[in-house]
Amino acid sequence: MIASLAEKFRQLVSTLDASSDCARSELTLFPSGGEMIDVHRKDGRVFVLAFSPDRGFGVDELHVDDGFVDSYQFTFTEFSSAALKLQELVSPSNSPEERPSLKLSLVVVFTHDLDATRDFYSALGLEFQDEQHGGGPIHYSATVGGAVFEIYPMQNNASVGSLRLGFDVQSVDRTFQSLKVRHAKVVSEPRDSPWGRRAVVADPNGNRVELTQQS
Amino acid sequence: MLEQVENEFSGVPMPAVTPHPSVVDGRMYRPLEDYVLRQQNGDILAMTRGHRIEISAHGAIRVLNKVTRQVEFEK
Repeated sequence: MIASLAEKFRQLVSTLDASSDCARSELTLFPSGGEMIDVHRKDGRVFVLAFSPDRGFGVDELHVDDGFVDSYQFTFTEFSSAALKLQELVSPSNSPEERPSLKLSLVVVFTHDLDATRDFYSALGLEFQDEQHGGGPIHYSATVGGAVFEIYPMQNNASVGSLRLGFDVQSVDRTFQSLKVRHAKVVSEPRDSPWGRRAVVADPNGNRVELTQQS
Repeated sequence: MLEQVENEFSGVPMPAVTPHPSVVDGRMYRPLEDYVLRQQNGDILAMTRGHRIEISAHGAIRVLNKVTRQVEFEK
């Protein structure tokens, strides 16, 4: 079933309201077909997404001194692009003070030749230890620049990427939702683990990206 | 009525086609009909990019700034 534009707007408002950074969002539907969402973030910033049948979609951040300017910084012809831009603007990663919270924490190289790969990276100065978690495979692990660098054996029938990345993020659930609406393939939904709250998605190349939130 | 007021006081004649909202020509234009909601009781709500305009059936008008949530004009 194809959702109407009004229904898409309602779903977007629900998604925004579920965000812990969004104080409230207001949807106004007009009989002419025009629609407008105002999003108020908890930090006081305000964003708008407007649709006019004649002018298409406009997205922008509002400022106190905008006056009666009625043009939009971002314009789109499709709802999905406008919705993504609004979510991107509303996202806390749009706050400069919050950007440093993202930290590369894990790199995993999958290989058919563990020893040759270990020797290669050892030559760069990495000091590896043998590790095995539960029933998982024996692998090599080192620390570099505060991140864990691991070498895992690749399965013979592996069809996924040969690289695995891990990021420490401020909120696994929020980052996961942001990637999900961008159609990232979900490998593992967010859940609590011995390493903190964790989720795994695949990038467009099939490489797995692990998101971890230190509690 | 707004157009009559602007005709008389702005000094800018009403163009045949309403200019794009980003164009500033010294004349005010009424909110786009796309963003006007007329209630059954006669009240009107008009939204612009940054303002919420409330017009009651008995003629009271209030313009609120969406960012500050303050009333910028009331009559």
